[in-house]
Amino acid sequence: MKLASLRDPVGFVRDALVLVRDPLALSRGAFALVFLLRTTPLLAPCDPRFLRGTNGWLGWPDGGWHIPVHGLALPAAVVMALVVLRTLGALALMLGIYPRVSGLAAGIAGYLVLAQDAFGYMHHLHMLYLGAILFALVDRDAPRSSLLMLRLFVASIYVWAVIGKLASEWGTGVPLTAFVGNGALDRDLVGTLLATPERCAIVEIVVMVIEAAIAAGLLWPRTRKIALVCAVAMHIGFEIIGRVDSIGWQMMALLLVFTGDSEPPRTDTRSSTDHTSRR
Amino acid sequence: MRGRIYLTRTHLVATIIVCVVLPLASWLDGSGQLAWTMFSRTGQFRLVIVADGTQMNPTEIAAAAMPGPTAIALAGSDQLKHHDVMRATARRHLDDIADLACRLRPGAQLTVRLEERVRRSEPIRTSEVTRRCAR
Repeated sequence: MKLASLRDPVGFVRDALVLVRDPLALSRGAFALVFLLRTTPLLAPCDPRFLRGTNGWLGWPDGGWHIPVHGLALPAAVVMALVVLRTLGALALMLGIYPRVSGLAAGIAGYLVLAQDAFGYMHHLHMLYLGAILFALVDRDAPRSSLLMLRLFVASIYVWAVIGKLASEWGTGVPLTAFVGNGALDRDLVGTLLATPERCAIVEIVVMVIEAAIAAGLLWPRTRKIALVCAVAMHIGFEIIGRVDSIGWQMMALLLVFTGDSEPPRTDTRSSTDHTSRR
Repeated sequence: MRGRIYLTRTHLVATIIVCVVLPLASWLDGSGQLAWTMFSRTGQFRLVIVADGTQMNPTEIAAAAMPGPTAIALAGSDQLKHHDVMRATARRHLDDIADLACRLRPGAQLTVRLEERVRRSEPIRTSEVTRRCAR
């Protein structure tokens, strides 16, 4: 995807049309949009749960007491500047303006703001900032390598999610019983399905199997489409049942790297061997 | 070798770090925080805070700490809370929680005890910090 130029609106529109055929650019744009929606008050009129009780700008201004990570307490003015930088970075990343710089700015500024309160860590925020940094590493001269990197990242999330479940009580019925009990899941929708620990155990095993199948299916070209459909359906299901913040939307944005052709339109101009040997 | 896809050196290093090193490292530190363990763990924690021999409710600290994630984590933590990331964070920052409690009890002899379990089937483990708060 070429850099969008604000001085060339025709070129901007042309690039936008190219974007829908380029899985990397499409995913980057969608991911950065979710980034913006999650870290700014844009969605305030819709009253999403993650904005309740906040002013909408994630991490600032915040007059409460905090426990900074590794004692990294920054002055409020610096945090404000980082929030502005994070937002501008995400906006530029979404529009494809200097994606390398903007992605790094959004990701690093995001992590620095996140570090102001250790209890503010959430998996999906880590995913947002790490994802922005990975999109910054996309190389125009190596689109196939870039696409593979992003695809492996997405598949690894499912793999680690399964490992996490295998290493916990998932499969015994305890976790879902607990989630239903503490109101994390919509009882009206899943009350019957998860009425007993035995049913919870079955659902837990099914979810694990589906996640493992999605991870494998996404990486194999022949099963990619069906795996993609299953993954999207699963995330929409989780969103409806659990209202799991923005993680489902982030994953669906990332899953766009599996759309389109199995390979991006341009061929890499260098392989890892070439890259190494030139240096 | 036509048709095969290679990772450039930068992408290879990034992939190894993001897909293997970071998640594995967080597994090794016991938290799994960077290993996409969302919604898989049933870890619980509870805070018992005693200042000059009198029990102090962590929700009192939460009220003073509002707004923000620290307040959310401490609110209601006198009872077992089901939140594994908060559990791991509380253990890592027990000293800092004591610092916050000291703001409300300057000069007090303070004990902050974390009671936690990673699984519901496990016995509760405790860790504790004790200090004399500055006046």
